[in-house]
Amino acid sequence: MWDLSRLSDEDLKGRLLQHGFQAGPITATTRHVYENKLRRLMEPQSQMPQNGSGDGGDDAIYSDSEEEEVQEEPEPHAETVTSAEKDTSDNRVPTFLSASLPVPEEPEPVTDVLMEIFPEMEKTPTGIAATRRRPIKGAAGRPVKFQYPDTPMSPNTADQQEVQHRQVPLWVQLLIFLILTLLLYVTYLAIEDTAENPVTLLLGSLNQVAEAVEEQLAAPSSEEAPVMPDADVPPVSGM
Amino acid sequence: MSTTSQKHRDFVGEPMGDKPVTALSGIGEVLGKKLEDQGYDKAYTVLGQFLLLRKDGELFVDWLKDTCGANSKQAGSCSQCLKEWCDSFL
Repeated sequence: MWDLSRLSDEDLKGRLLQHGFQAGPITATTRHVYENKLRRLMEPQSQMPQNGSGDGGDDAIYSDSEEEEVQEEPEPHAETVTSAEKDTSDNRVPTFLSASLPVPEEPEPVTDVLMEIFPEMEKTPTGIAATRRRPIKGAAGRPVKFQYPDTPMSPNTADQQEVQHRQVPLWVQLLIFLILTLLLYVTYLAIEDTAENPVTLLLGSLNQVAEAVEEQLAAPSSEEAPVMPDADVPPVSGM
Repeated sequence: MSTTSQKHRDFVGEPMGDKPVTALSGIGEVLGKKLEDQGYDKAYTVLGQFLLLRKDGELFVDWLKDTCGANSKQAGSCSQCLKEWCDSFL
């Protein structure tokens, strides 16, 4: 068994830190407490016999784990605690460790839903597998970039960008449209000049009728002015 | 601890000043005598130990059990009252 009292203060502190515990100053009065703490932290790995020390705190921990041992005993080891001790002593694993763990793999491999979902996942002693999750953009002090290289683009936006690259600009489209309109108008004018189409004929005849009416109006007014309101105006207005 | 004793409230309610170690919640005549024998005559000396252990209640309970043979309830009560005193006055 490890003799913690031979460690120097700094070694003791370093060992506590290795186990993830940040110790305060190690003085004459605190040293014993920190030794106990380190002993407790080292227990899962060490070959310490059960109930090895007479400390009240340690007794509490041991008795606690024994209760769990009985409760969580899987079906194959359903007899007593002593049978579990025999089994594990062959494998050179501390009884405390093997009993306190849930032992998820061997007794019930099929019923583990997580294992079914992730069959390729590596098995861990605790049954908890930590996977690296995607970093949150801009979180935890990372600088916010505006272009993320790994951002997946949806196929629609990719297509749109592709199309926009190929497209001619808007003002060029308008210019072409105007030129085409102008060309069509010029063509229309040329056709109108060469061949009389029905629309112009109709317009021309209308003009002639209007001129004739004007002449008729002008002629009576100069010759017989007093009669005009009574006799001539109604037929003209009716036209 | 869900309920606190009158002693606890008295101690947590004001600066400890020069109060004796028996003013601490969970430390009675017997434990107080043992602590005084080891030099912890004032409450602030026990507070000093509590602070040396970085206000870690678990370690402080261990220490108090080792030092004066307190049981878990007494040590827990003392640890709780020192923690709350620190929250108020430190």
